[in-house]
Amino acid sequence: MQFANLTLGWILSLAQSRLGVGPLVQSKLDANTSPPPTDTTAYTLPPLDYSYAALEPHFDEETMRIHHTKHHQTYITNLNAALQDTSFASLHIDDLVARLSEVPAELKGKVRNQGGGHANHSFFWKNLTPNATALAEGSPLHKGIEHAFGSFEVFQQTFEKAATSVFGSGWAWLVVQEDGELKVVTTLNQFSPLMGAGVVGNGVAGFPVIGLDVWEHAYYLKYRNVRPEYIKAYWHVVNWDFASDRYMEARSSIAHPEL
Amino acid sequence: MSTSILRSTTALRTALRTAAPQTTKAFSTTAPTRALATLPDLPYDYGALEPAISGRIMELHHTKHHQTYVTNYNTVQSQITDALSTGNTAAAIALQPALTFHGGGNLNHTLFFENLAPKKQGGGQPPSGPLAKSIEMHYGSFDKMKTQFVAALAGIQGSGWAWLVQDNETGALGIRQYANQDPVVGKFTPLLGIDAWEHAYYLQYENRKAEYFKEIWGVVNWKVAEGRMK
Repeated sequence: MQFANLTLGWILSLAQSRLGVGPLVQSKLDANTSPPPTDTTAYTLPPLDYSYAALEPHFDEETMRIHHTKHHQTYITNLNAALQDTSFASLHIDDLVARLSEVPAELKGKVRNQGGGHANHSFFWKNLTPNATALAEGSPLHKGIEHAFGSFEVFQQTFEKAATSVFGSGWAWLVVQEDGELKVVTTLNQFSPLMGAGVVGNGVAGFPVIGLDVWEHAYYLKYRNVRPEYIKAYWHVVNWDFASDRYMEARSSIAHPEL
Repeated sequence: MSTSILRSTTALRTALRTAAPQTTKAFSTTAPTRALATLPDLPYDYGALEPAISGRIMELHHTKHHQTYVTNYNTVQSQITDALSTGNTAAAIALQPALTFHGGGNLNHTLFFENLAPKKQGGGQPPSGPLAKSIEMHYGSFDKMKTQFVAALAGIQGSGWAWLVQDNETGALGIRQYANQDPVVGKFTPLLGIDAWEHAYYLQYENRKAEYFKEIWGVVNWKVAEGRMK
């Protein structure tokens, strides 16, 4: 479909412009001709902006600690191991996953799984806050949600249903699509909407505004099998300031948004 | 803390199940009926597989996870039957993922709990009969088969299962990964399955799944696996 390339191009340019990345990422990724790796060419675990206990009682301390120091760290360790003879790790992780289709075939699977895991979790920690405030009704994001879903309540129900219905491990997202519209989508395992339509399909590709990890490790210690309770708890810790910034970024890169 | 839930032997339950075919009835084109699935009992106490798997996990896994698959499978059966009986092909087909997930979840967990056993009921004892011969023939040794099985488990991305299967045509053994709750159907017969979903081990092993994949062999029921060979 011709839309596949458009969406990828849009996501890429968005990722690159906000990251201020240089000439390296303008050319096609090629392990053989890119600069040799340096000691600093490795992904590192980003620290949280809050303590592990800060999201209690909604997200428990033990889960936050294990989720960050074990699960997220493991994705990074595995990703660095896979990329050690390349300089791909000099790319920002969002840029790497957006350019998945350009990664050499023998590395694609690992970059998708481990790189996706690093990108998704890095986003997730910023998506959460101990100081959550309601999304202001007159704000652009709130208006965008009302436009796409009819009301904020319907959006929440849509998101909850999607997050509950992931048949296995995965994520639920609110994304901005290429036409500027908001949409609730889900991905399995560590796929990301940032990977573009060529990887996740036209209906899922987009720029994440909020995201929820529904892998069992994200909630099992506290919520056991009762995923719906975890999903309800999520609303108490969503960082709507961060989400609003993401929304405005995405919208400002679109020439003629619908709203 | 653990309750004794043995009410019938494995053989009796298997016989009861095969006498009441569930899948064929759901797809009958005349006056469709359906056979309601029920949660099968475990042939051992919840705590009997310790220390390999904790009693807390076994109880949750059985009474919550497996029960939920049973309940939702019955709901999906009802929905598909209604759709088929009113000629709503599109609706029936749209329910396929839910059927695979909940029906597969029920099948997988039924087989899984049967292919585990406490040590005092033979859990962990390597096979000795035709299955042992077949494993040696296809893998060289029992340990080599185990190494491949563990590698298959470790390589699962996200949720899924690894199964020792038998090819229905050739009789050859194989080790296969199945995503989410996709069941072993069609070309292969499931002999032995290990659940690699996080809920199968997280409360005890947390992220240390390699440990779980190592310890589980102490409670595997190879006699049941052999009984599944064709």
